[in-house]
Amino acid sequence: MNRQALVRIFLDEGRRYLESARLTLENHRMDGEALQSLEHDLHALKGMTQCLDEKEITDLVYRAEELVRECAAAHDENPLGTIPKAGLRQAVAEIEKSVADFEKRCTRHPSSGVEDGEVMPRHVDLPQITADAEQIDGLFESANRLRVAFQRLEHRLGTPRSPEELDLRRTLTESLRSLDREIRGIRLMPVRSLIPILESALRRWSDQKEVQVSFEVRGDQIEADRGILVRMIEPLTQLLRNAVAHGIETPEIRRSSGKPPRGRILLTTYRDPERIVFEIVDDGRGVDPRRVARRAAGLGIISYDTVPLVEMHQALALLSEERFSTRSSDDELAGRGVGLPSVREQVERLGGTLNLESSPGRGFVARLGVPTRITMLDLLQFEVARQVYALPMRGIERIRAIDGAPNAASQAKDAIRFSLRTLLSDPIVGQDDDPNAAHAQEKEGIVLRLGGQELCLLVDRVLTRSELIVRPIGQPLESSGPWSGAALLPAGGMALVIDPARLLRTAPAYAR
Amino acid sequence: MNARSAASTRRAPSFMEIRTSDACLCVDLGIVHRVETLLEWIRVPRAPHGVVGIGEIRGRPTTLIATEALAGKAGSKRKPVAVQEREARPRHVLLFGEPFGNLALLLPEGAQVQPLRVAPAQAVIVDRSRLRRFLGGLRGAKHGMSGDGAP
Repeated sequence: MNRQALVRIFLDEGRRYLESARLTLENHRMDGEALQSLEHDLHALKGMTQCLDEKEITDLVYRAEELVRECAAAHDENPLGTIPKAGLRQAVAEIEKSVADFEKRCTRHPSSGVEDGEVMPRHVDLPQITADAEQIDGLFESANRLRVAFQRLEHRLGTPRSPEELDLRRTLTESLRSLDREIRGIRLMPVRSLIPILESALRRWSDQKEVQVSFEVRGDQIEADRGILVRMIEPLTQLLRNAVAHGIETPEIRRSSGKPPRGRILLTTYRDPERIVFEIVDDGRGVDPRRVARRAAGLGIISYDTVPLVEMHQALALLSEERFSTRSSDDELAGRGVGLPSVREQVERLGGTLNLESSPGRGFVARLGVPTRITMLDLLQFEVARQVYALPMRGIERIRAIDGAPNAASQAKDAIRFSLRTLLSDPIVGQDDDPNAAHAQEKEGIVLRLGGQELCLLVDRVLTRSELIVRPIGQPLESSGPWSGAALLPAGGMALVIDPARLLRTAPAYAR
Repeated sequence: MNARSAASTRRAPSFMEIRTSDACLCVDLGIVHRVETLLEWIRVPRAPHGVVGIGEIRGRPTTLIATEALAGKAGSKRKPVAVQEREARPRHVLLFGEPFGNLALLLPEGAQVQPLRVAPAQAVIVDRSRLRRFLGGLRGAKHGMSGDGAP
């Protein structure tokens, strides 16, 4: 992956984080949860800008992050006080402007992202076709629908009535398989694509910490879905950052410990049947269980009495605890307690695992295993009776304002109208005692087309649109409602994903 | 303590006892994966009786079962639950092992939980077959879009 590809990823993913931060500022009161969400978005953005070596944007993000932390401290001191949004809004707006300027520079001079001295091809011999990841996902989705439709048609037709029909069916089956394989192939990217990002970040951090590091890579020819690899950038850079900040010693210390002056970090990628595993090994100072235990005791996580008893595996578990950091002060390089817990969280949200190993004085191993296939959907999130739900964007035609229940019907008269508040509010909760008052909360209608039929789903308010990981909810809940799974929200928590087809099939009684 | 009882107390526990003011459940350790802390969960509208909602445990949506429902207490009714439990205090859940890996028991606040070697006579034993029967009952129960989920 060249610099321009990195820039594309940054503009794509980075904007999502900025959008999320802006929406948090617009839609939420600045409480602990909102501040945590802001901090998460800014931290992720900072990781990406550091990889790009865009100092101006990094500095702005760093300042914004500091501001959020100050607000969080103020909130901790006085949870009932109001945190003013103006400064935060200003900080996010400055980042947005800076990112927009950066994008303009890149558009005017597509090679402007290239570092001095980096060897880059100025032209290519063959024209390249670029396709947006969303379009490829759309193609993938269409192929899936085509396959399902064909299976249903085959079921209806029954046994082939002639050799020609049999031949046609075989051709169709093979073509659909081939289409599926080829689309999956388009989404595949080699791990090698990530290496320049990691190398560039590592080079800068090692300069900053005055340590010498050689970075070796094995298994970088292994290919994985683009969606997975893009989501691995942040955890991998965080682990490398940790290796430099906490692991690799200065040349003098290494010499005195009988180690070569240059530290070594090895990234190995391999596959097992269902997972792709990224293993980062460094030969630094490793983890000192006593030091970790003392810090944990200082933070009140364990008692001082148990410090001498803490073994390595317990120390490694403590390191993954939320807000745990062995550093006594924050720094820009190592972050503030959002290191290993954040890595673990990101990997687990992909359905993967994080394993840690260490030998004191000899090094540290972090192993990230993620499933080779994850389901990501472009989803519209909305709120009904104070709970967040999501709908796949595909099929959604428009969103319309609904001015209270009495007019709802007249404003969406072409569509079958569903009151999600009626459908989703559980009578046992007893919150909607007055149906009219409840329907007055329905301020927006999501209009979607399904099998030639237009539906208008009345919701309290539409929140945001984003590509989210969706995981199955399993039985017994899977068959208890119109759910196609649960989406893992970027700020933590989940949203039930509604399958409109099931909604239409199973709940005609709720049409209004 | 005689030699026999001393030897027997050294044997590994077989159950996880969950004792509340009005119920005592002994969950077979063979079906327990681990105990986790859950910070928040969401309700699932019209979920079957006995299901409190779903929570995210290590990136996996996990169905939360009410202890009272699993204890099969006569007269236990669905209780109102808050719409979103984000503000609630962290709660402990007992996560089941495979093949029930997407299920967890939401432990009642204030419940006493301890490993036990022998289950008390009055305890409800929750083992693999009871859990299977319970799940079968959930699937067969009136729930979903056409009912309110009440038994």
